[in-house]
This record gives sequence, structure tokens and C-alpha cells, in this order.
Amino acid sequence: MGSFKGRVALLSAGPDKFVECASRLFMNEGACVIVQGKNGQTIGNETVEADSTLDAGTVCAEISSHGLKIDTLIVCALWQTTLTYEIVAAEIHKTVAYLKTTKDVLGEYPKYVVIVTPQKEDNLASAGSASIKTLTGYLTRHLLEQDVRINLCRYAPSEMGMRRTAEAVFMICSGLLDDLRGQQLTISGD
Amino acid sequence: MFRPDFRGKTALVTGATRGLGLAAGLALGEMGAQVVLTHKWGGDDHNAILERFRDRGAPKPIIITADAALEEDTRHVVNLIGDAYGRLDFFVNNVCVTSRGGSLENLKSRDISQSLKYSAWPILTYVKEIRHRFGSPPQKIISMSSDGPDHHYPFYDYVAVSKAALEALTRRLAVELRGKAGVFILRARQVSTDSFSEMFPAASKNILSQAFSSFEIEPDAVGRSVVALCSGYLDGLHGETLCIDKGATFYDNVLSAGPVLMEALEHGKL
Repeated sequence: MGSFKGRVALLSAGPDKFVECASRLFMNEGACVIVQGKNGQTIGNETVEADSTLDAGTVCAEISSHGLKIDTLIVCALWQTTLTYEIVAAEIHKTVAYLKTTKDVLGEYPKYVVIVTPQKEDNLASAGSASIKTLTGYLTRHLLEQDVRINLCRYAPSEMGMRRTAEAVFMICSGLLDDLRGQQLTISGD
Repeated sequence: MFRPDFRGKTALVTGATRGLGLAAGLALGEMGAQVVLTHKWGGDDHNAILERFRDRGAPKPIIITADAALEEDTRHVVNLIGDAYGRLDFFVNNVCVTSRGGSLENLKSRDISQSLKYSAWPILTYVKEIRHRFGSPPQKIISMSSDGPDHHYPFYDYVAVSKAALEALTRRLAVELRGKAGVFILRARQVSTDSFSEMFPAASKNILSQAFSSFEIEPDAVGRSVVALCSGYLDGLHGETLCIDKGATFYDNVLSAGPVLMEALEHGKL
């Protein structure tokens, strides 16, 4: 207990079950958890008055105004019920936007960046996930000399799948897997 | 760093008196597990190993001489654990004994057979013996591998072939043991161990250390990955491969890595 004390984790809006499980795991170890939730939803011990429609810049500025920096960034992508070409493109770019903004606004990259996408039988979701997997590799290369580790977790869209993915994300950010970089972990839901 | 509590757990690591096996044993012991290490040849002075466990605050390990290719030795190890502790929670299949390859002319049937006997088949014989003795498999089974099955490295033929077989067997075990055990493959890229120095020529090591030091993985990083897999938090990765490589595999090609090499040459590092 308490191994994450002093750390700050930002979770972008995502599927409720995953966000809830991940938040609790981080909070149980003492992390400050900020959730970019729907309608200013709060889970945890800090609130960001931001909803899922706000851009990364606004979210980071809000975090900065609280005197905080982000140690862990968890980006939920492609989880929306309905995807369009435009939404998929924006979701692929979301992590890039967060990385640039955290550097510009907060002065440094998060130490841990985990992108979370669903395993879906859907053309656009599959294409988006494949793109994000490749982008994870490229971002890892670009930031090779930085103290940043970027990985991708793909969850099975079931309650067990999301719980297990939250646990995997927690482990990726635990300090035990710091040489895991640029990887895609496919998490089963059974 | 998060530290799972492995007190009361027992772990068996094969080929574990040096390198990655020892790192895995130390990491598990540091979290409180009672660790059993096997070895057949070489390895550090046992007293030095015991001291390293003491330094980590780990329970004193048991060190057993056992030939992974002999079923009677496997049975002896498992029975010894059963008699002493009554349980076996984690099994790390690390032993790997092969010859150096290098060219078509050098590849021999006898060497392939020996490599498989020591580096692939033991995953099955050990799990079979453990199930026989304890009535169930270990909670977690980890096969230590490398990216050799998918990438060429000089002289690495036999290791790569054996690891490919090992990984296939591990995935089959994962199907059979779903719901009964967590089964994982752990791959690491270049790790600075004696085995690495024995396999690869000095020039290769020089290239890595002078031009691509960022590629190198410390044995302790692999040990911590074993702990993560045994923690229960990665059970969703059952049957999958965890690759510890600092992201190197993705850009380890001529066009991406070539300029880094050229720069090292220009600066006289090589």
C-alpha cells in the first residue's frame, strides 16, 4: 500500500467500468487520480472541472492550476459507441495531442503513458486500433531518450476484460515493468 | 515500486545460478517467496548466491543440481519441494543449453536434438511432474524466451529454434491449463549476462555497448517482469508473450538503426 504516493494519474474519458477499476487501483496505492469524466464526473480525490469534449490543452492547464504534474497518462481511445472516419482520426491523434500538451503546459512528459482500446469486431475500430499500435511504436522511437514509456492495452469489452485491463495498466505503471516500451498487450476477458 | 507479497509462496526457477534465472529467483525472493534454484553446470559460487539473497532480504534459497533433460532429476526436484514445502506456486522455466550455430554447414541433427532436449522439452516434463506430485499445476508458469524465433542473430540458430519450440509448447499448455494456471512467455532482448558473452562475438557486444546501449536490458529488469507476471495483475495476458525490449525491436532495422551505427563509427566509438 502507498507505493504510488505522490504520483498523479490522469485518465481520459472512457468506459465506466475500466475507469472505475483503474482509478481504484491507483487510489488504493496512494495516487492522486484525475478523471476527465462526463459532466465533471469525479472519481477519486481530485476533481478536474472538465468534460470529455474539452481538449488536452484545457485539461492540462486545469491540472497545472492545481499545482500538479502528470506522472501517468491513461488515454482511452475508440471506445465510443459510434465511430466515424473523423472520430477515428481524432482518436488516433489523441495521444499525440496529450503528449505535446503535457510537455508544453506542464514542462515534461508523463513517465507512463498507456493507451487503452477495445477489441471490437468493427471495421473502423479495427483500423483505428491497428493505427494506434503502429503509432505506439513510432512514439516510442521518437521519445527513446526520454524517461517515457508508451504502451497499448487492448481490452475485451466485457466486465472481466475491463477489470483485467485495469489491472494490467496498473502493473505497467507499477515500476516493475519499466523496460516495457512500445508494446501491445491484448487482454483476455475470460 | 509496487511490491506484491509472496510470503508463503514457493517458486522453482530452473537454470538459475546465474544470469536471468538468478535474477528471477532474486526478484521473487525479494518479494518473500521461498525460492528453489536448479543448475547443472557452472554458475556462481553457492555462498555468493546465498549472500545475494541475504542482501535482498529474501528467504534463503535451496540450490539443487538437476539435469533438466533427465526425468528422474526433474522428479527428484519436484519431490524435494513437495516434501519440504508442500506446495509449488510459481514455476519459471529458464534453462537453456545449446551449441552455437552460424552456417548451414555447421547445423547438425545431434545439436538440434540436444538443444531441444534441454531448452524446450523440460517445460512439459516439469509441469507433468508438478501436476503428478501436487495434483494441480503451479499458479503461474513462465517460459523465459527471447525474440530469436522472429529475428536473426549471429550464431543463434539453435537457441532460436529451441525458443520457438518452447513458445509453441507454452502456448499449447496455456490452452490446456486455462482457468487452472496463468501461463506466460517472457521475452527479453539483449541482456548483459555470461550467456550473452558466450554466444556472441566480442564485436557484437562492442556494437551494442558503444552504439546501442539503450537496447540493453538489465537482468534485474527481467526479474521484476517475472514478479509482475506472478503478481496476478497480468492474468489477462494468459497464453500471451510479454516482451521486455525498451521498444528496440520496432526500429531495429538498417534504415532506422543504421544512422546510429554510422554516427558511432564517425565518433570512433567502434
